[in-house]
Amino acid sequence: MSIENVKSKASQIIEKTLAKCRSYGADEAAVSINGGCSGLTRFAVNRIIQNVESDKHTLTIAVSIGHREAATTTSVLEDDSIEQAVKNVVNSAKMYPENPEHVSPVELASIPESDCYDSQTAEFSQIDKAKIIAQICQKTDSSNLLAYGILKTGWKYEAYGNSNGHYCWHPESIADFSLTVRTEKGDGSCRENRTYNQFGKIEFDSLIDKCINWATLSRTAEYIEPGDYNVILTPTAAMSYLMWAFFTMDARKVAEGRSGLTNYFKCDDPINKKLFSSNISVRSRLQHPEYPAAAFSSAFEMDYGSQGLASGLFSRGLPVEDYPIIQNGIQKHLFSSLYWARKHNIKPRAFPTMLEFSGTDKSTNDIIATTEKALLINSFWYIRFVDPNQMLLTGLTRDGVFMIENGKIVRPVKNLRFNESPLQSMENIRIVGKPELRRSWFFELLIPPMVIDKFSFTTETDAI
Amino acid sequence: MKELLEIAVEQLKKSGADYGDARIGLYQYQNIASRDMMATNLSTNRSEGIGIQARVNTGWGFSSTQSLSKDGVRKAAQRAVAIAKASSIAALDTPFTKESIKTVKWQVPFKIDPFTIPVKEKLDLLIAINAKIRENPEISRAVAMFNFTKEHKLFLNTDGTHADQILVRVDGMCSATAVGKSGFESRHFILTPLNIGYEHILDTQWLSEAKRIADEAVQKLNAPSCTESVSDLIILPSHTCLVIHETIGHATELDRVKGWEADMAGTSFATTDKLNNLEYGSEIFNVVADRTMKNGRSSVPVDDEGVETGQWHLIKNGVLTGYSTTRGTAHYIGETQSRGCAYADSWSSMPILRMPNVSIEPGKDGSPSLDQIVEDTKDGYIVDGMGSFSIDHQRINFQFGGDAVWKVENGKKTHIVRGFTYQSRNPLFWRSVDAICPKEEWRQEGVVNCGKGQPMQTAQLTHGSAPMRLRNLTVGKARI
Repeated sequence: MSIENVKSKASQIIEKTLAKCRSYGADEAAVSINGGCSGLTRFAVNRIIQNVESDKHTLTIAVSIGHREAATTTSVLEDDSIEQAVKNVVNSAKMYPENPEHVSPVELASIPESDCYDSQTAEFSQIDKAKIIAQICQKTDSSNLLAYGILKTGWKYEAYGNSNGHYCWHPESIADFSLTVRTEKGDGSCRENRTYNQFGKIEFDSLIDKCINWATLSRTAEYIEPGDYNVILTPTAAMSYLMWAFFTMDARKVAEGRSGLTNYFKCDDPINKKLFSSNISVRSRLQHPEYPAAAFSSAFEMDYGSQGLASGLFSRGLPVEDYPIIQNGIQKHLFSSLYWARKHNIKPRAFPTMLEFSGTDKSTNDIIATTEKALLINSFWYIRFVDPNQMLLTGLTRDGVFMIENGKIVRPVKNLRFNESPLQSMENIRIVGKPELRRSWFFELLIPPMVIDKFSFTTETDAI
Repeated sequence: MKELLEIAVEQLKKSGADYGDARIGLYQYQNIASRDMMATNLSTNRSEGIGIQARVNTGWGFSSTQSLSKDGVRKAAQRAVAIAKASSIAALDTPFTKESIKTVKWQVPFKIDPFTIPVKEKLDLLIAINAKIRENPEISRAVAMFNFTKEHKLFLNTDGTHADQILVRVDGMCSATAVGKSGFESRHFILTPLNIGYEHILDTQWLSEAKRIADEAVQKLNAPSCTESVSDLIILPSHTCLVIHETIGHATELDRVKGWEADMAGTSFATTDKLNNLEYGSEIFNVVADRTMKNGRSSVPVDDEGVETGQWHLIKNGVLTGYSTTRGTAHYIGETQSRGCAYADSWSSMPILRMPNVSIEPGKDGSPSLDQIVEDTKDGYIVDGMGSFSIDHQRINFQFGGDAVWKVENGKKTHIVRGFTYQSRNPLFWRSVDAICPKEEWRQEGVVNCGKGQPMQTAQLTHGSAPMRLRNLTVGKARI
């Protein structure tokens, strides 16, 4: 089915479902249909081990009667099944008590369609992916190395509509490549991962070469005493670590004393305060010309147990806006849920779909060349909270740690565990390089390699 | 539904599959939640479809569809075979075990179907839990939540094994958050996630647990910070659960050991050359894998490759003695039968190797009780519940916290400490176990959100243990 046919069918389902919601007595309703089709080929020890194709579409319906609300999700999309789902969810809402924090669905707004769909990427065949993987594996095999990873292509979409007449549509093609190269003895390893909307943007040759070189370089890693080190983070490492800081930047959490941002800095109102290094500026970015992302998002509090699926869907569909979050180290804005914004008569600030860090034109290699002494970190692994009061996190380095001295990699170093706060690290960013696209669990980031001073490692590991 | 499975298997054979299976999944979920006496969520989910996998030569292919029509199923079977053929140009050549053929019809034993209980009754209880927590004036946030699942899985493979299995899952939690001048702290009560009926909710003393966690959240907020030391740990089943999961369950997954997860979840230090000779724990330390455990979250008679499940030791008298395996991995340790550890979290997911229920056996009769262990400890901590957790990609270096941690001084449980963590490594950690309580204190606990695989899948497991003591561990290194 072409993406235009999917769009048309999704729009019809949304229209019909909203009409059914009205006819069964819902005062307000929001409906989302999302899904897609993708093929993922997985390889290990230089051979293909899995080849999976998935075609899945899910309808989510939220209704309210007064302030009573309920939501349901179904993968059964025949007309009679949808009607039954609507009937059930309306009946559930009738039984449910009023939610004092109920919000009416997002108002009608114009949402531009982002240019995120590439038909060649969407239709890339499993056979062609298998051929590419076979070539990669031949290359690593000829270097006496082992390749592991995935190559995924396909497409996905979301169509959203609500009882205010608001409608959004976002199609996206997917090209996801991940490669780990390990030595046969298991004494060296390097990983790289890229996700784009266009298959042609994946830099296969440079990624493969880097993994081969760094896996080889990382053999015979030496122990160093854990402690405070200046570090050079690649964009991948910086993304997986710094993105945690943004979950503290919620207006309600700040107001209610549940944010690490205010507890760490001991200030009740962080707005317009210089909290971070002058080297850091971050904005919610709309429609980056090279890396477009969805133009609508949700404005809900990202905290455990805060809001349910119905509130989440009523808060969806807000236009993504272009605004500064941190400017030269000064906190400029917080995210704000639709409920909190309406309660306090402030502007709702949806969670961004793209966070853009400002940078310079320096590559990771340029930064290495001008560094007197630091640890170069390729990526982090298993980052978790230790203390949300201070935004203290723990995690480990993985797939490449090197000692840099006088502008050169001088030796590989064993992996280390850190205990550190990204809020503290954002005070200690000394140098930033050229931003690159990385995709986190929640949003895309354009994030540079960077030098952070006094990064705290507490233990070491033999894991490679 | 059986007819659709037969159509799929017939098409797999016709299209040239050497092996294949079809699995229909009919899933039903309900989540109900409340916060501060407000109903915050009532959501239901229905998900139905079929997943079909095929093996051609050494290549694998998997295709899924939510179109449960004869035509839709045939097309998915043809796609699975076509993908398997595409894979075979560079596929890993792994022998696939031959398993006995069986027919199984089974469901989780339960008394009350949770989906028959009115929503209002469930919500009234959740709001009462919130209210009990908020009776404590120093608590500013109370959350409570129930989750119910019914999974009907119907399976047929080209060998002829047919399984019709229904799982009913129940779990729930409540939490209390205290906010004050020194920040905020939360305390949780997690109902042991089990495959069981609504009686699990009814048999729980929710209101007394709610009062307890509210009081302990306030104690946590006002507690002294944990200082750096080398101390003994007394870990309770609610905490040990996650440590078993991360440091033993994952480390003994044979696909991970052989590198199949190297790009994402990682590998393992417990390599096959260490089988039957790695001193994983102290002599009193025994660990059992068991997909037949009563009410176990991963318990089922037949796995998602059509293999009968069972029970076996991973660690016996402290020594590594086994792994979890599937039909494609058993050969790596010279076994001719799979241990039945294949699991797919949805009809749209391909089965992969997932750890079974993994539990530490209780101490022998006459082993010390928890009270006796505390009395016998001069300087230590009692660790309850799950807090911070992080482990490296080969399951060696790890750091854990707890949900509530008490200081033990000169044989007495004294006060809660704040910001507690400990740092250790495999296998030194389990070698330091010097006392395990007897079976009277053994309890099931569980993990419901274990991520693994590409694409990521979520597994749910039960991990049982009795309270135990570990000597001389590093505590409190994590700080700003």
